[in-house]
Parts: sequence; structure tokens; C-alpha cells
Amino acid sequence: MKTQDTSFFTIPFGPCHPSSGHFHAVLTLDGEQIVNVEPDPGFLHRGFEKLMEYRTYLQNAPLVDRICILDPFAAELGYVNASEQVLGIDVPERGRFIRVIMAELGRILSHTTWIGVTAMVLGQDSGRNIAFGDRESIIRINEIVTGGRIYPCFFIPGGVRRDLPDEFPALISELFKRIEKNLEQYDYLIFNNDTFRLRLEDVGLLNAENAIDYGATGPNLRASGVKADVRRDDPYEVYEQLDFDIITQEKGDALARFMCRRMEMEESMKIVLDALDKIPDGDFKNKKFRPTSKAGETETYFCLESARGEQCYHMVADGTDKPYRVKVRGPSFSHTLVEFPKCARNATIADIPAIYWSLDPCPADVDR
Amino acid sequence: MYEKLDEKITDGFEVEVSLIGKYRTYQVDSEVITEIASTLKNEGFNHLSDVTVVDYLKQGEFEVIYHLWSYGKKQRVIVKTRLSREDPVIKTLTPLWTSAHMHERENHEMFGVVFDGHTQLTPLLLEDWEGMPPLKKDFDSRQFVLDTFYGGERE
Repeated sequence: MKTQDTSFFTIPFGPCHPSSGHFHAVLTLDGEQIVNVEPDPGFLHRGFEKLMEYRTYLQNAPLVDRICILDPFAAELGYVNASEQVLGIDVPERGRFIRVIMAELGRILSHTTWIGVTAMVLGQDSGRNIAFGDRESIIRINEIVTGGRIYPCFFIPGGVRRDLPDEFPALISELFKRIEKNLEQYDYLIFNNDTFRLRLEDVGLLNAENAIDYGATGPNLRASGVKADVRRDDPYEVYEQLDFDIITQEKGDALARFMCRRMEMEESMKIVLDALDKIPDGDFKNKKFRPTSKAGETETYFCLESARGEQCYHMVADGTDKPYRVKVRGPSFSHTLVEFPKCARNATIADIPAIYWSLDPCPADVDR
Repeated sequence: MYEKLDEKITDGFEVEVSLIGKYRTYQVDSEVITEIASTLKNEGFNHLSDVTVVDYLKQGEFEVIYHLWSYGKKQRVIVKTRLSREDPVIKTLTPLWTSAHMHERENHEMFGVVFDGHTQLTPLLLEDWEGMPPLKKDFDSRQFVLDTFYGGERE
């Protein structure tokens, strides 16, 4: 007689789970233990790479914001740099500084949101409330500077849309005072909290060799002890002139990845203040760029360090005012589809939120 | 800075050496992609950052592009190879890099390029898709929208 094998069973994780984002994975379980994770992305696939072939270089700039909702400045920064290279347009120094300042604010914005969501899924609602309060104060500065709250549409080929307002340094010092105060709160509630640390220590271990093999970049790689950062190794914009440290951790577990991001927020604040000190006067955009500007018949590749890791653009131009092909390499693609299943194997089901959010995935970035 | 690497790669293989942006680019034959990739991996290019396909409709060719980064040397290298559009088959690089698995799966779905030896060339991002791979240049987005959302015609 044929009996059904009841030792394994499958349950879905997402796509409408509060802690999954719009990501779906099928978990195969043996009791409490995870035997296999089969990722099934695509719930946020909007076909940006195809859409970009139908739009001009300027029309694409607001489009790339939507690639990763939580980190729009990084996506814009990569896109405008790649298009400047095919269009042959220079950027004034002041424009580059403004871009770096906003990109680093974007990194803090992304990390605060991550603290909030992580605190929520691990059962610490006060942490969520404080972090989303911080996020709101950064979003307000976004609105004052760019006019947009979530999607700034601020960087354009040739520079930025407008200059920083006069009150910007005062806004920044007020914001950083608030964040520094709240970082102590986060330490108390989350990062130095024993209940939290017990859930994170030795969970989702990833050694350096495997991390590289799985395509990990950014904080996820640095948490495994690899000192790598595109801002230092392959500098772009004005990062060469700015002073900051690369944060690394040794252990490669969920806690290491948590601590990496937490300390990176302080480094980003350092970069913003340093850039505000060094920012030169002058033009903030190159007026040579026109909405109808045509590119040469060329191709280019540009890489940058977003909040989640290496974000790259491969752009092929065919001499018209629209790109022939744009490929976006989002850091979350490998993190969610390769690392998450590998880290989650043999963990227990209660560890899933800790592992998933220690990798800080962005499903919108996976699907594009 | 790339001279030693150029020597290693051009030795024994037919390679066209150029630059994309500031990065070294090797145009190679698709038959020897595994050999080139493993030579580069032995040279320390341990991070496969991305696999990209570009559809050159006029030439009737696909271009498969591999982006490699070396954490030791802090260098980036781009490897390109051309395939015919009629029969786009290339060896998989999954034995060398685990991360190649998902990149190749995505490119198979979006362009129809077959990665020989890949264990799971199943749909990844698209849902119930039966038509032509959508990122190919002869896929007509406008007609697709008309057929799908407007019943075939719209004023």
C-alpha cells in the first residue's frame, strides 16, 4: 500500500507576509528544521530594462528611482553616471558633491528603514516606531531639497536639478543630533539587547569564501571579514577626497551583519559632514545637457556602492536619444536568490525573519 | 596594470582586447568561454558580478557579457562573447561561481539563451509566460500592450 510521506511538508513564505516584502519562497520543513528553500521572485517585476529602451536619457532618470524604493538615490546616481559617459557630458564639482551628500543621506534612510522593519519582525515595536520617526525626518529633508519625498528624481545627466538650499547645513546638524540620540536608543533596545543578540548570534553563518562565491556584496560581505567597498576600491564621484572608514566584522552571522549596518550609519554621517565642509562654490549642473541630447555609438559600465552593496549599470548606446540596452545589477538579486536559501538551510523556522532581514533584501531590486 | 593579465589571456586563445569605460574587456570565442573564465578565476577574479545579454538584431547576434571583479587585485574585467540568434547556446559557468546560477536563469528567461549544463533553466521572474522572451529586440511591446489590455486595437 502506498502511503503519503509525511516527514516533510512545505509552507509558503510571502508574498503577503509582513516580514517578506513582496518576495515568495517555498520552505520545505522537517518538523521545525528547514530542509530546502526554493525562491520564487517576480511579484514586483515591472520590466524596467525594457521600458528604458523606449524612453530618452532624461525620461529614464525618474524611472530608475523605482528600482529600489528604499534607496532611490543610489539607483539614480548609477544611471546618471552611466548616461553621462555615453553622452560625453562633464559634471561640475559642486554637482558631484551634492550627489554624494544626497546618496549618503539615502544610505542612512535605507538603514533606518531596515532597523525599523527588523525590529518589527523580531518583535520590538518600540524600535520600529523610533526608526520610522527617523526615516520621516530624513524624508522631510528630501522634500525640502528635491521636492519629492520617497522618489526624489533629483539627479539628471550633467548634475542635479537644483542647488542645496541655504538652510541645508542647519537641517543636517539638527537631523544628525536626532539620529545620534536615537542610535543610543537602538543600542539599548536592539543591538545591545540580550534577547535580540540571542536570536542573532550564530544564525545564518556565512564565511568569506562562500560569501564571495554566492555573489554577496556590501555590508553582507563586509560582515564576513572581507574589506571591500566600491567607494574605496574603485572610487567614483568625489569619494577619493572624503574621509571615512570601511566597517568590517569577523564572524559572518546575522549579528555581524546587523552591527555592520549600524556602524555604517555613523560613517555615512561622517561623509556628509566632511562633504559639506569641502563643497566648492560654482555651478551645480552642466547646461550642455538637453532633453534631446544624443549619445555616441558606445557602451559603458558603471559600478557604485549602494546601501545594500554593489549596484552596476551596463549601458549600450546606438547614437540616438534613447539607450539601446540598459542592464541593472542590483545587489539584492544575489542576496535574496542565492544567499538567503543557502543561509536558511538547516536553520529552524523561527530563525527565518532574523536571517532574511540580516541580509536586508529589497524585492523590488530583485525583480526590477 | 593589465599587461600581465593580457599576456595570460591572449596566450593560446584568440582574444580581442579593448576597454569599456575604464575597464579591460576581452572579446572571446564562445567555444572557449569555460577555459577563459577558469583562467581568470585562477588569476584571482573571484566575484562574478553580473551576466548580461545584449540583442544585436541587425547583426543577428546575441552578445553575452560577464562582469568579473577581483577582491585581491581590486580590478574589474569584462568578458564578451557573441552567439548566433538562431541557435544561442553557451556553456554554463555554474561550476565556477554559484552566483552564476540565478543570473543565467534570468537571461534564459529574458532572451532565450541556452546555458548548456545548467540544471534549472525554469521561469524566474515572469508569470505564465508563453510568448517570445520579452527583452529580445523583435518583441513588440506596443503590440503586446494592445493585445493584452485593449483587445487588439485602440484609436
